[in-house]
Amino acid sequence: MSLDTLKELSVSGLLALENQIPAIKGLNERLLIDGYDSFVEAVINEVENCVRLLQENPELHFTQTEDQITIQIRNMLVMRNYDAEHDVKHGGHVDLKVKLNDYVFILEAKIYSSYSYLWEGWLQLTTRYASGDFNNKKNAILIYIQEQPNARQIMERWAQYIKSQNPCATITHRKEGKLPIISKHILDKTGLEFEIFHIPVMLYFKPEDKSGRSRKAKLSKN
Amino acid sequence: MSGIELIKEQISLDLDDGILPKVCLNIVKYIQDTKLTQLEHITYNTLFQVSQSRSEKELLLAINYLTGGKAHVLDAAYELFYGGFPLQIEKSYLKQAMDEGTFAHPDTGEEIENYQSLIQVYFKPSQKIKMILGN
Repeated sequence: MSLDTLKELSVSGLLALENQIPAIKGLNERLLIDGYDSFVEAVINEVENCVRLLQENPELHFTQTEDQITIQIRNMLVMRNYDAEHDVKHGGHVDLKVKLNDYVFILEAKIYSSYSYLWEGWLQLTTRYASGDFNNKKNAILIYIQEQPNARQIMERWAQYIKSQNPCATITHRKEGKLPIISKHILDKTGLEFEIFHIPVMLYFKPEDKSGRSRKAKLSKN
Repeated sequence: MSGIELIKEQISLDLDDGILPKVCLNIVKYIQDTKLTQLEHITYNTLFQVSQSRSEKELLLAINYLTGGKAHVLDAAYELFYGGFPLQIEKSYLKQAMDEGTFAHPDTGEEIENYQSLIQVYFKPSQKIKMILGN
């Protein structure tokens, strides 16, 4: 059926249409971006949606490399119409960079193996990749947890490790009762507050039932 | 290649099949052919007409694409229809209302219950497009 005219688009109408058309999910939040903070909030919400999707199938991701997982997140962001690039030059090769106008949000990805390895991600972000200026003062570390159980404990100990390395940093939970944390500290090069979102991606996979064990063995071989 | 031509190329690269690239390119052509001063209030219905979309879904997919990504042709703006004249609503004001679940009229302070149905979305060229067309 063809239409000659449409009713104008109200906010309630748009939200209803988002529920009917999955490809435009999150459009209103993106349209409401009017500054760096709302840009970062929209990107982080979308990244957390991507993370939830990845976590639905850990059996497919528990042996993947950092790049393989990061590219999937990048692809999901692009499908949501964010200008996201993988392995792009920005003070070095950043894992994931999302842009809108002048705004830049960098995500450094690390497979969790030790806190000193995660700390390398912190150092890359804070001393190389991020400018720390008004348009790039918030960034993220994606922590892919594949080999170890108990993501809550990993995040708690990571928070302690950050404090041990940088006693002036403040750390809070992004949302009450949720695992992602936010650290704030003064960036050396700017003297301004710098914020890092630390987002765990729980890909640990250790099935204990018989068919699950044999599936894991098969997947591990491939 | 001019800035607008680069955007058209980006659209063709990103959207390689079906009707969507054509719908997006129709909108870009409308913006290219219209004076910037007349583009500060592009209604949803105008986009529907100029894009030659065959359905609301097609138009929304085009808006979804053109308001972000590498092309980023359009930005949204909001106005409240309550009382005599439409009133511009700042995005940050609306976002806060949506986060908190209550909306007060910016001038009178009156709480408006069904505000989401009284606020309409319209569009304007993005900063990037304004810079391209302004030169």
